[in-house]
Amino acid sequence: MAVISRRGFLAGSVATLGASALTACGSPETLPLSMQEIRPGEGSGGPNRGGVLYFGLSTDPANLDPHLTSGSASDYLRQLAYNGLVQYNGAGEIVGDLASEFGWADELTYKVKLHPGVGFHDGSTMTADDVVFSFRRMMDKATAAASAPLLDQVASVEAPDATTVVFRFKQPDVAFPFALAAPTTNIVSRKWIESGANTKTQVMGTGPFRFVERIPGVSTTYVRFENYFEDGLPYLNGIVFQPMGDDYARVTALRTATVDMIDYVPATHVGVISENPRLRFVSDKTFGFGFVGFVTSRRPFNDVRVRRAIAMSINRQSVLDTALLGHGKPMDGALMSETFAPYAPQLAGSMPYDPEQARFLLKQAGQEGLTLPVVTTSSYSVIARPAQAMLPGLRAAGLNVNLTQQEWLTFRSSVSTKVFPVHSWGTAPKFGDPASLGDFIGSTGAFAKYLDFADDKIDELLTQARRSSDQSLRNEIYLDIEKRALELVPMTYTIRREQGEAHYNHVKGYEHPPKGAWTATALRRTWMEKTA
Amino acid sequence: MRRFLAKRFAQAILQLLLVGTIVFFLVRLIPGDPARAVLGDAATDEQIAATRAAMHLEEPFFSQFVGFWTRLFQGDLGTSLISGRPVMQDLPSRIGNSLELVLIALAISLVIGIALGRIAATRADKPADHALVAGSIFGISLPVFVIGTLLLLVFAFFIPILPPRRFASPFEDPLAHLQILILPVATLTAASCAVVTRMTRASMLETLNADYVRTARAKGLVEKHVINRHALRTALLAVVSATTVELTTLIGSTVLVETIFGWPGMSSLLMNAVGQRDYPVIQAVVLAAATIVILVNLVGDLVARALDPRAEDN
Amino acid sequence: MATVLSGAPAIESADRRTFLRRMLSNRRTSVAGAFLLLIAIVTLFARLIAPYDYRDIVGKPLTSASVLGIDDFGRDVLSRLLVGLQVSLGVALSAVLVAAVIGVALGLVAGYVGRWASTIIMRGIDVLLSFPPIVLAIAVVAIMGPALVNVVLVIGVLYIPRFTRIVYTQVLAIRNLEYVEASKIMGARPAGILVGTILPNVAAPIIVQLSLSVSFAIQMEAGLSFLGLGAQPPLPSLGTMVGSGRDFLEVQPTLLLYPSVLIILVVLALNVFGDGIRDLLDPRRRGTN
Repeated sequence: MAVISRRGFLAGSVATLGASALTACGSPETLPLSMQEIRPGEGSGGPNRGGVLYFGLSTDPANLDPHLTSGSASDYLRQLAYNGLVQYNGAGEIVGDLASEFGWADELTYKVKLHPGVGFHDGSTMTADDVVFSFRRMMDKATAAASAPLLDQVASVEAPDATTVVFRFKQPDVAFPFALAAPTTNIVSRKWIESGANTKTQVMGTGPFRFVERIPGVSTTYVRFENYFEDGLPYLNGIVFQPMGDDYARVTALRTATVDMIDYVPATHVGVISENPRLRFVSDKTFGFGFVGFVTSRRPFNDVRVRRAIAMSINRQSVLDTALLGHGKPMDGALMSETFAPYAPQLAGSMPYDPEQARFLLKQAGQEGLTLPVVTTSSYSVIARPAQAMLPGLRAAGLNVNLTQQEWLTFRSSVSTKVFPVHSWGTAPKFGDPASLGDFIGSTGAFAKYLDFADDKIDELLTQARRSSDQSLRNEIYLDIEKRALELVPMTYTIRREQGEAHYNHVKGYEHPPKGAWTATALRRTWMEKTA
Repeated sequence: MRRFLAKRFAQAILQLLLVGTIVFFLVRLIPGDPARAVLGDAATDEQIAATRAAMHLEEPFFSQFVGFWTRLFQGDLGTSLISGRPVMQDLPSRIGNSLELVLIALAISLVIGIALGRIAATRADKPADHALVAGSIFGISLPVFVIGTLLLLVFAFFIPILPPRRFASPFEDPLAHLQILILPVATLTAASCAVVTRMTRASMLETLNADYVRTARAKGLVEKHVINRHALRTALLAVVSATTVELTTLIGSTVLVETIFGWPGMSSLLMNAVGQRDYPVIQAVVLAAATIVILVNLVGDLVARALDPRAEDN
Repeated sequence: MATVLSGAPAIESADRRTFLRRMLSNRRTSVAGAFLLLIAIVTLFARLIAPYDYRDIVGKPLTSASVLGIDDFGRDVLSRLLVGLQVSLGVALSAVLVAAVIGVALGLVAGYVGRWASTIIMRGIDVLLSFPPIVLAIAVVAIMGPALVNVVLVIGVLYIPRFTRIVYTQVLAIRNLEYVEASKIMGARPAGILVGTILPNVAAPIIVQLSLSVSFAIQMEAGLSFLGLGAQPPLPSLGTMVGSGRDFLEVQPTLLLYPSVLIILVVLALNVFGDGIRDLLDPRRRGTN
């Protein structure tokens, strides 16, 4: 082989590799610079108009279907482009969204009057027919809609005229308004869906922002919808979401003003962000929480003394101080926060840290020095860190813990197939009302199923409370339910985590939902004083 | 040469068939459910089952397997179970973005690494050598994500000349692209440059003392010629073989680099897909990565043949 | 280039004593060796030397109350460094050993036997090399469980190609050289030629690759433990300590600094020592030091 041809070959292969590098692309559609301009609004101090908000998002939501959810980050995308019938306002109360009037006509009938003349992004008009279609889609099992379990008491949805929708019920259901306000209870266009639109990749609603495009891994872009039905809204010209899964990168992007706002501020960086005078941190300590669940059918965890012993050997204050650097609250009583569960303070201190008592209980149960296989997930530090932080307390009670960290979906599979008798997890109630207790300790609850837990008395009380409209009676019933759960310990709650967003002071009008009623609609009303 | 190439290409096809088959079964052995990834936290078992059926995951493995290859031979890499996007829509640009990082980092590493390795070898046991050895070990032993984080910290805050920016393609905004390219490339280069330096130094020391180099010296050739013509050239053999491995290491390192710097490459696509058990995307990315690695190895072997006429593959 | 037979450069028994003496006479090699010896002792007795139990809360989180400070979970950093060193070195060394033994053997066979053996081995190695580690790692945890032995196997298997490819190219380059031919003529069996004649002559890149791989293995262990494979909390490893230290870079940089420095020192010592040993083993470099 001649030297020349060897060289020629080398050059050729380098050129090939180089060319493939040049095909690198995937550039986001840039919004015109003119959109960045911010004009003062009417009146002094009022919302300015214009500007583009850059938002660093903790995940890159892949599935944009209006009725599914893959976590709170994806709700931002959903609730900008779609509307529900009702929504939570800045104070956490339920107010109208597409509905101008709404409420119970009688115990088994819920009536909604729609705003007239609301338009979809494609120019068509939204009618009661679209609303009926949307709810039927959610209640169809094939959709697997996130709100479906909350709609299980709905017998029928009908539209007597173009702006009226009537829901009829199998039995009274006080939780129904929360189902309506959920970020996944959105109204879609019947025509659009029936024309075969791909709801995973396309977005078309009535919301204040129109979906432009999503480039996986790079950005998801929204621009203002000129014909939005609420007067004056939205203020911004556009919102660009940039996925930033790495905590450190997301916080750095905010601190260097690469983005105006981020979600999901990690506990390890709350300090750095709160101390920065140019930034605002908005959060709640009522919503997300950690817990340890037991497979109650498995020996020796079928013995309530063993479960109780473990619950009492978790030093919750220490878990909070180390795992979350104090950003949250210890949970030694009710599962529901006192923000929306008035009975909660009565239960404070029901599960004290007491390793001596725990040892005693274990001895009674004949389980001294028990080895405890515990599974948790390494994918989310808010779950993994508390699991690690509770170990010294458990050891002090003579328990021998084997902790296994698994990647998220592996963990989920381990939990649902009950490979480990104990799991350390974290989640949030679906909505801000004690009725959401059913998910955790009701026998059909998604979380209770992983525990093999079913208690007739709790089930009966849950049904009773869901049917009752008397607030003080409901309060009594839920108090009894929580008391019983604290006695039976199918799971033990550890800490409430502080969860929140951070943004520059020049971003205005954004409020974190205050009552643990998760919603992302505050972003619809956000405006900017100036660009970064 | 032509026969050799034909044979190697045939082998490459077989290898890809093997990789495709292994990955097909391996991803399905991993616990975790793509339906769960779509439906989120509180989905009921019923909902999961319905979604699995809609994803055709309830069909027998074998018919899924046949379907996978049939579609592949028709040029269809499949559609993401999660996002509903055809894999081909994202994969080419993701591969391009990753290769851009890797190839630039590799090119820099080779140029600097071979030069430094040569210096270290010819000044063996002198201060320059010691400094280079120590420096390269620093580069090798610091984990990629630490180097990345430190670079981010330094150039975003202390010397704020390279704050993180939104990803921009080279066609849209070449200058911005160059700016965001620097830190990830530097991170990748730190480790791989060190490896190339070490390999060059070691193999050059070896060859500098080999008989034929001594003979060349004895013939009275100028030392520079001896080093460049004989020692460096033979030493490059080992470097080339190490380079193909280094390239795959670099591709592996992009997993972390793309996460830290928000670079939309194929590793972040793979990480996301693995995290969501998005089988078609995992299969496509693994096959694409395997194609690249196998081609690179082929090229590496050809280069080795070109550099060393003694090495005759059968 | 034809000169004399270089001969099989095995260490003759008479050479043994002088080998150690010569090693000690090289200051760099002996300092590195002494440091590694110290590390070995510390590693063996880590749990005895450690001032505290590596799992215990001994002080206020993120303070410098103890010798090297307190970590984010209130545990003693020094104690965790000692135990972490034990875990990391144990995993990394055994994994690299597994990779080296299998990888070198495959490379020797592929290079020397050639034909179908080289095709099967080298193309198989390509397949292994082309497989993204993360997919393999997650599958292995799922199937075999998270025990440390499985980490050793996963890292070991993933590192086989590095050794095989390097050895293979080197063997190709020397297998037709005079001294190999000479051994053949003298009637040595293939296994004898491979181990006695060829292996010592390809030792240099192997030793370099060995010392490089240890540091990569330490890092890979950290990555795998995040996927649930490897040292599970509260058991520390240097890699996971570096990883979690990253979150506190601005609050308590020493959490990142100490394990990083320890990794660098160990890897540096291994490399210097490895270079020294290689020089001593290499007959052609004798006397050049």
